[in-house]
Formats: sequence, C-alpha cells, structure tokens
Amino acid sequence: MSLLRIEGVGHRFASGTTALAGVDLTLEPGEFLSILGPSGCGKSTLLRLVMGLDRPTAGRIDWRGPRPRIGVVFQDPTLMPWANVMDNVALPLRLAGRGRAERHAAAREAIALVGLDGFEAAVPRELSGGMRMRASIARAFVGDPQVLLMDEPFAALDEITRLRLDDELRALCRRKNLAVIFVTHSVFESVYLSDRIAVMSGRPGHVADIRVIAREEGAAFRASPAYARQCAEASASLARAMELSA
Amino acid sequence: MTRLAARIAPLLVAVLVLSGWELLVRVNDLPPYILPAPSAIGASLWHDRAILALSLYVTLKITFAALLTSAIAGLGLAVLFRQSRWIERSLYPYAVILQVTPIVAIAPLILIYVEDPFMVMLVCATIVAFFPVLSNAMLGLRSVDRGLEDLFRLQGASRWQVLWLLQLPSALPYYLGGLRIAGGLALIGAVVAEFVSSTTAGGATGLAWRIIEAGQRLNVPRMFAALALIAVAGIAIFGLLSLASRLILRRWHDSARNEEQGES
Ligand SMILES: Nc1ncnc2c1ncn2[C@@H]1O[C@H](COP(=O)(O)OP(=O)(O)OP(=O)(O)O)[C@@H](O)[C@H]1O
Ligand SMILES: [Mg+2]
Repeated sequence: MSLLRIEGVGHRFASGTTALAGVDLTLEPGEFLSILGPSGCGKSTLLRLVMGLDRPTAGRIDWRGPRPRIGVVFQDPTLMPWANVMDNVALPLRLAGRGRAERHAAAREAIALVGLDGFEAAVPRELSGGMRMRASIARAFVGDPQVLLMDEPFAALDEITRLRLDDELRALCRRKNLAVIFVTHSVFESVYLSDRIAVMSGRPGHVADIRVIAREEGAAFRASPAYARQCAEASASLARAMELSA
Repeated sequence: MTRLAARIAPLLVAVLVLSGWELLVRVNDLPPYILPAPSAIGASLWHDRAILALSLYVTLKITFAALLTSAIAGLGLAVLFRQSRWIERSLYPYAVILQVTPIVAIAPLILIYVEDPFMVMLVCATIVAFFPVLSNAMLGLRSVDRGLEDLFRLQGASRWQVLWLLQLPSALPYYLGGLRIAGGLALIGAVVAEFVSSTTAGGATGLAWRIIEAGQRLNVPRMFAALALIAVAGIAIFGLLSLASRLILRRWHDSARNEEQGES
C-alpha cells in the first residue's frame, strides 16, 4: 500500500498562474522517487504541497496513516548563518522541545553520518558549499525522518561533490529504508539515485511518464551499460515532455 | 593606499588645518573673542578641565540614557508590531509623526509637562534617537530568509520560537546599524534639549549650557573647547558602537567583514 497518494492535484496561484493540473503520483514505502522535468513545470510547487507548506487548490494528498516524520532539504542549504553546524543540525529537535543533551547526541550522530565530524563549531560561512549542503542533509536526518523531501539539493554544487553526495545519499537512504522524493533537473542523477522517476511536463504541470529503473546498488552502476541505456531512455522521455510543454 | 597611510591621512589633514588656523590668528593678531587660536582652545580645555569634564559627564549621561531607552523601546515596539499588523497600523504613523516633527518645536511642550530637568532632556534625546532603531529593527524582523521561515513552519515552531530563534537573530545586523545611527542622534538630542531647556531649567550643566554660558561671557575659547568635546564624544560613541557591532557580527555576517559598512 502506498505511503503517499497524490490524486488529481492541481494548484492555481493567487496571481492566476495554474502551476499544476491533474497530478497523480504515489510514493511507496522505502522507495526513492525522483521528479524530473523542465524548469517551471511545477516541481517545486508540487513538493511544497507535499510538505504541507501550501494547500492544493484541487485534488487530494493523503498520507497512509498519520503524517510521517518528514525531513526536508531545499535547493539552498538554508542554514542559520549565526549558528554553528551543531545548532543548525539540531534545530528540528530544538523546535520539538528536546533537551540539550539529547539534541547534541542526535546531532553529533547525524553530523557523523554526512562526514562533517570536527566541524561542529564552524558557522556556515566557514564551510564550503558542499559542506553546507551536507549540514543541511544532516539536519534533515536528525529528527529520524520516515520520509525525505528534497528540492534540487545538489544543483549548486560542482560535479565531483555532487557525485559523492549522490553516492552518500543513496547509501544512507537504503540503510535507513527511507522513502524519498527527490526533485532534480539532471537525468543522470535521477537514474543513478532512483527506483522510479516521474517525468513531468509543464503548462500546467502534470506527470507525463513514470519510469521504473532496473538498478544495482553501488557506484559501479554508473559505469554499466544498463545505466547508460536507462539514461538515454529517460532523456528521450524528458525531451518528449518538454516538447509537450513548449 | 596602504592601511597605515589611510589611517594617517585624516590626522595629517587635522594637523595642516590646525597649523594654518594657528598661523592665521598669530599673523593677523586676532583677539581671542573674534577667533581663538587652537593653542588658546587647548589652554582653555586644560584650564577649565574640571568644569568641562563635569559637563561632559552630564551630557554623556543623558546621551547614554537616551540611547538605552531607544534601544529597548525601539526593539520592543518593533517586536510588538511584528506580532500584529493591527498594532503596527495603529501606532506606526505616530512614531513617524514624532520623528518628522522638529525636536526644537516639541521641547518647550515637554518642558511644561515634565518637571525633572534630567527627564526633560532624556525625553527629548530619546525622541530624536528612537526612530532609526525602531525602523531598522522592523526592517530586520522582516528580513528573514524565506527558506528558513518555511523550515521553521514545517517543524511546527511556535510563535515564540520563531521570534527568538529566527526573527531576532536575523534582525540583529539591522538593529545594530540602527543603534549606530541612534548613538550620534542621542548626543544631538541631548545637546539640543539642553539648549532649549537651559533658559528655563536652571539646573542644566551639560556641555550645551557651557557653550551658552561662555558665549554670554564672551569666553570664546571655552565655547570652542566645549564644542570640541561634543565632537570628540560623538566620534567616540560612533566608533564604540561600530566596534561593538563588528565584534558581535564578526563570525557570521558579511557586513562585519568589509571595512566600510553601508547603513540604512
Ligand atoms: N508564488 C508564486 N506565485 C505565482 N506563480 C508562481 C509562484 N511560484 C511558482 N509560480 C509559477 O508556477 C510555475 C511552476 O513553478 P515551480 O517553481 O514549481 O517550477 P519548477 O518546476 O520548480 O521550476 P525549476 O526547475 O526552475 O525550479 C511557474 O510557471 C511559476 O511561474
Ligand atoms: Mg524548483
């Protein structure tokens, strides 16, 4: 049974723009789902609806059972510039009213998870772009989430850092058996990370194609013919979606 | 230009201007009640040091009291305004009115209704200094990163948590900028208040009163000496507040990195 059901969701902004219409999508337990689509097709809007930051103007978004614990990663690291890594990562626990000792223990664990140990006392300005992003990911993990929602988290990073973070993210999510919705522009990234890819098309945004990825774990997947073939297929699907919305 | 040269340049200007001034007075043999030479002003500073120091203390006391009052009231009101648009809409116009009405015009009224001379001057100086703190604090409380705001909402942050953990820290650089402007204004307010009130309130003994008193006695060097003290006090307050601001923001805010800091 699906963890999340998105049924006939549409969203119209107060300005009159219809960003989404008739979006149907599910998220299965433990699944890594990517949303791939051209710029402006409504990916961020959809993710904000799933996060509960905005309400859909049509259709429904239902979680199976009570709303799960959600960790979010935005396109920017979105760290508090005045707070150090420890306090930034521990923020969700602080807001949940947990005690200091518990917060720090959990934050330390999450920081180690993303390989930022030793930088607990650094403020964001003292970190590189990739390290900031990792702090942001650690913060998403600290509340022991059941679902992870990420909006182009690695878009601003260099290729090397991005590949490494892709590896780390995929491994982490497998280890913790998380369900993930991952918004991205990159065909290669989505194929490498995902169990399924929802290809979106714009004007107004809807799901044009859903591709199930036949995958293996580990970085070797990137070098395999299966990976190259599926990238080509996803690419073609994206090209069709872009034609539709052009 | 090297750092050292940049520091020395303004000093050099001061030395040049002062020597030119001294020369002008000596060559033309100007009497001190027309234009006192810098040396005469210096002598007056030294000779009247006890009286001037006491007056400086009085003026500074008012200045810092007004700065402190503005700092607290400005932030308090800004936080209140941020909590409710209704309160903001109802009260903010009056803060603006208070700001745009010249203090010289308000002061005589305050003199009528407030008895204690210290309180009179405190009220005047606070009216002058308060507005930039309020408006900067308001701007700062609104300048919260959208993403962080969303994040706090997603994590179910309470109003209090949003204020304490997000809005106040975001506002800090703006607030400190407001305080730096307010420091100079508080001094101006203190001096103006004393000018306005000195004719009626006999107890005034600040630097402004020294200027008036010395003027009446044609003791022009002492007028200049008191004026110099006010200027130095102003510079010192600004420098102190800038330093404090830089130290507080040093680690995380970009403004504390640059030599020159824009303010609004
Ligand atoms: N707050 C808003 N008010 C009005 N229109 C908006 C708003 N946010 C987004 N839109 C519109 O909704 C559409 C979808 O925007 P959205 O940000 O979801 O696209 P996206 O797929 O995330 O694009 P990108 O890949 O460039 O981030 C766009 O046409 C945009 O102009
Ligand atoms: Mg987007």
